[in-house]
Amino acid sequence: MRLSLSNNRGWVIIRTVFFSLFYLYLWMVVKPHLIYYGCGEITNFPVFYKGWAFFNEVVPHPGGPIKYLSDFLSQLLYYSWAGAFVLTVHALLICVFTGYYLKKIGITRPRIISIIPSILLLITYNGYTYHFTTALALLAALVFACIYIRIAPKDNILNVILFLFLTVVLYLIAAGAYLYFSLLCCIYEIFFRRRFSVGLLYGAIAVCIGYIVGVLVFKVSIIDAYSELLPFSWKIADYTHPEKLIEAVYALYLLIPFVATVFALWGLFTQHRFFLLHIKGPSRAKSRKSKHKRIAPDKSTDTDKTTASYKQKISTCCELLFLFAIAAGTVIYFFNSERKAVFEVDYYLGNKQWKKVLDIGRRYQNNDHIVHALNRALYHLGLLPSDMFSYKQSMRSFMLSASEEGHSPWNKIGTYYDLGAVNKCECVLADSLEKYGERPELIKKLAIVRIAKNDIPSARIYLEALNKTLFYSGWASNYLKQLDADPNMSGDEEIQRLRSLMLHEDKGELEFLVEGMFIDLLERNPKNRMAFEYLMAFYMLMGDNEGFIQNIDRLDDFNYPQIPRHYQEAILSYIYLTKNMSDLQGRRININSLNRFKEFMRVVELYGNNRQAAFYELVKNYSDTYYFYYMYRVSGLQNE
Amino acid sequence: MNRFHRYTIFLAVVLVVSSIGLLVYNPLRKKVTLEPCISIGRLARINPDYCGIVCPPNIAPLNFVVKEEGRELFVKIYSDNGKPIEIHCKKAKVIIPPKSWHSLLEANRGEKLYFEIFTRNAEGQWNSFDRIENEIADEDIDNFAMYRKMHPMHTLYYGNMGLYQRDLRNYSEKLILDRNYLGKGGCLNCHSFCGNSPDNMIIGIRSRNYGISTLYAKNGTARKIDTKFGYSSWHPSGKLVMYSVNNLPMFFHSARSEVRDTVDLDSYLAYCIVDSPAIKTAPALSRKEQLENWPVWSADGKYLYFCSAPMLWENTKQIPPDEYKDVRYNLVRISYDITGDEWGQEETVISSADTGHSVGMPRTSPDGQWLSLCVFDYGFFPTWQKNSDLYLIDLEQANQTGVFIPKKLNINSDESESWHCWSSNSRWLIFSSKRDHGVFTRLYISYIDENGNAYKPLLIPQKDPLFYESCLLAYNTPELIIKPVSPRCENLAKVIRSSQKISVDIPITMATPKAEATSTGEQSWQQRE
Repeated sequence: MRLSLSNNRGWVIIRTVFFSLFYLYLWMVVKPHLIYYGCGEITNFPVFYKGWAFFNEVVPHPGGPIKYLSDFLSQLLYYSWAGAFVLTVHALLICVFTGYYLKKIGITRPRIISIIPSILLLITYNGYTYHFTTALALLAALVFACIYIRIAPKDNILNVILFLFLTVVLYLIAAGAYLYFSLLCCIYEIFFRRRFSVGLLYGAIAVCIGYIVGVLVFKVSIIDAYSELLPFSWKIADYTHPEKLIEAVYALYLLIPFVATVFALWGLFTQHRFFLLHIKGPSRAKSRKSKHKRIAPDKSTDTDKTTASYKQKISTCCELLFLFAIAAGTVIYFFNSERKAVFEVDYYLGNKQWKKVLDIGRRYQNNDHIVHALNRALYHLGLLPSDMFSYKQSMRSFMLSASEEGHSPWNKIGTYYDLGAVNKCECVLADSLEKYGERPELIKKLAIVRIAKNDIPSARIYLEALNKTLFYSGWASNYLKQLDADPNMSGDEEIQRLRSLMLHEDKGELEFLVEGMFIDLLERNPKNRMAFEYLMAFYMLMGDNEGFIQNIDRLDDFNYPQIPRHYQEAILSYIYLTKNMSDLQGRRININSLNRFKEFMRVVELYGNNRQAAFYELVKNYSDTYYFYYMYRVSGLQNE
Repeated sequence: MNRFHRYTIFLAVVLVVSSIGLLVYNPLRKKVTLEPCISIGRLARINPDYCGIVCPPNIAPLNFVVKEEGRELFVKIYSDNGKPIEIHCKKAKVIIPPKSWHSLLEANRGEKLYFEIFTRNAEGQWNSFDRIENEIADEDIDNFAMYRKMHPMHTLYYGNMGLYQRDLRNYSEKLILDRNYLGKGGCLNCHSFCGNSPDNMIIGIRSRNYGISTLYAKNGTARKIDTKFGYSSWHPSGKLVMYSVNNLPMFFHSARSEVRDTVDLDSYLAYCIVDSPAIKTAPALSRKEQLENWPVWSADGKYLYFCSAPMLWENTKQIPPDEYKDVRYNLVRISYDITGDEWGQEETVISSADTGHSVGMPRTSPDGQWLSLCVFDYGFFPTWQKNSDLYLIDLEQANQTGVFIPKKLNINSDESESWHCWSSNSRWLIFSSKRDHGVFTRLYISYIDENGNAYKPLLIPQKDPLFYESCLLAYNTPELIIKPVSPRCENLAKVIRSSQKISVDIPITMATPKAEATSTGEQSWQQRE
């Protein structure tokens, strides 16, 4: 008894420690709120609206209840602590029910098998992917399988009735996941109760239920009838993305059937004792008997007990260590720090935490999205004209050109929004709404844009939709009240800012040509500092000194204490190349900038025409300058 | 009997008794005494605006929300005959019982329909508003409407877009086909029916996975034609479909409220004889220097009406061309003899030179008397033009006098009205409008009497009267049909996915080679809403 208790206690400790760390890791390291925001990477994160309308839309379909529950629980990822809790409880329940199922079919060792699903789930969270709905469907199937095993009567007819009932109910709750339940029941019946005919009958019933309930009653397509909510569904498989880690979910689904089959076959060939124990019938009477056996007075000596207890502790420790080795190895192997950085940067951009964007972003400068975000953060910190070439700049990342297939519209929203390019912002918002669904962040921005454009009826629709979400309803109702009180929103700084920047003169265009856009914005409002700095950055990135110099007079519209460093460098480059003195209208080039430029040119001239040879000498001291970028079309290499 | 069972039985009994009690004695069902009552002296504000409308006798209950202050609400809906409907509720939503509604409307065809609204304030005082007077038309509207729902303003082909069939007698909406069935990215385009019947139906399909094609369903059996029909119109005989072939790139406005726009760079008309199937055109339908678009047959099939404008540019690669705002379409017609497959002379019906406007989306009423169309500033696509309005031409009168007089309907708003379709009895016009919800087009139905007078339109009702207030989808391309579409969604999808298709040859003598070249391949996708 003591041994058994000690054994269980050890296992309880292992699980407690594991899931505590699981929770802390999710909360502190993965940060589920990053998955919630999605960053233009997660396209299948669900929306959830309060009220019966959404309930009635989602629930009355096969799999609707699980989908609704999943949609609701997923919203809790908004707060990392709550999201981590939801994901941990979900993983823990899968562990508990996997353990129960395996125990009932005689697989009690190694116990960590039941924890492997949690590790597989961790892989998906660690990779910033969203597969919660299908994983929740798996949990439902597992719970039903355990219920079946727990209450399955001996009588074949009652068994079949019970199976039929559970299958239909599960089909309504979790759609295609009922197949998984049926598979677990078949395995249980065929391999462990040795009732081949019942097992085969279950298989046939499962096939029929999908058709009858799904196709005939609910009129869903035959493919959906059998695959909805399963990771094999075309809805998941069709959206190929290298980072979606769907293989981990496949493994999650296949784990128990695979383990059970292997153990059963192993038992068949080796007469494994666990198997033998069960093929004689794992009846409750037997189990009660064995329970009594365990409760019977323990006649072993104290030495035996101590040795056994010691062994048990060693075994628990070994198991624990092994488990953590696997978990840690998996986490490290699958951890993609750059992907996490992309998510973090997007989140901090959204929350205007510019310094954090710089802190995180400077480590991943080969990523276009991150450099794009860095530039935006630099602008807001007033550093774009002086520090942009301290980072790896390229035209690709500068405005995430619309023609680049790989760039998601999501990442361009903030830049257009900050610039006041309202129509372009609206376009990428609308595209994002198509691609990522009705995400609250998108709806919120669309509402603001429509208010700025004085289209209050459209804005109200967006706000009313937002009012039905869990975490943005306060913001939306506040805006609705403001609109009621003052439809012009004259007291709203953000709206007024947009209105002061947005274009009035209309023209039709096929693509977003950034240069023209910046110039149009400056013509509309010469004080649009972001448009100015981005225009100058554009010319510098293009190496277009003429364009740059033609717009240098616009400096007068802004209160820079002195000409920003990169602008000085561009002016010096222009003067050097054209031998034309630019009219600086009383503005001065800093003596340090001048000396630095002279030193740079001295090194360049030292190497004559061999620019490549000069590169290695220049890179350390000058790769954060415009003239270095102009010469080599790379920048920000000083730390490499 | 153990304790658990006793408790269970007790709870069950309590539940049953209280349910019966609530049924028998519902405090809100008791007789409401409205007196003394203060008259407010104006109409109550209700949403949707169902005041002064003419409604079809077979329409679903017009649930609405009363936007007046009050703790309780009493609404009486009645007419000359039948039992009045009385609704007493504490919420502002007025949900009308369908059975009583349909009985009331059926018993009062052609009569008035009154809404009397009373609200009770915090002090317990009842206020009465002026009686809302609506009318019940004598003629039914077709029982079903098929339309497309999608997010407005997008340019990508990923998200929600589906063709749905709404039973106008109730609130049920059935999916006919959605973008999910087209694989990764795709678009469902215009659908058209022969004579308001889904027995002959076509749907334009663009799919990255399964190509560009047209679904053709006849008597419930669907097939795929290996070319895409643009804006199409069935000949009343059901033997041929006239359609446009267009090069319609989408472009953007930098400052206009409606961001998207499109231009008909190059186009012509062709027709498909569906039983062969063979595709043909005629010189008058495919002139190189003209843009031909929006074909529609007269009710007798003797005339083809379409929109035509001179092509103002030579370079179709510049998008948009500088002259895109100068293109104004005329409405023209050409006679046709189906027995000999012979075309007559083209004649101008409405000249843009006279009106100073462009025209688009002409539709003829099934009785042959009316032609409705959109009139707007420039180009061919009215949905994205704020000033697009619906006009009506009396064809019978025009045939007698030889003069076509477009009459602006009084159902227009300051926002865009477009996508319209006649009911099979020519008494109802369904159209899309942005009048109430900005960029979100909604569907309205308006009664047109025998003299061509249009009556205040009503928003297609939903069970939840606040449904549209937070609905992020736009409704467009409505078509009224007399019975439900018979092929199931999955069957249509199977046809799309299938490699079996009816191959057709585009005539090589086509006069507008650029448009012809774009009739295959991805570049030819009609990039518009």
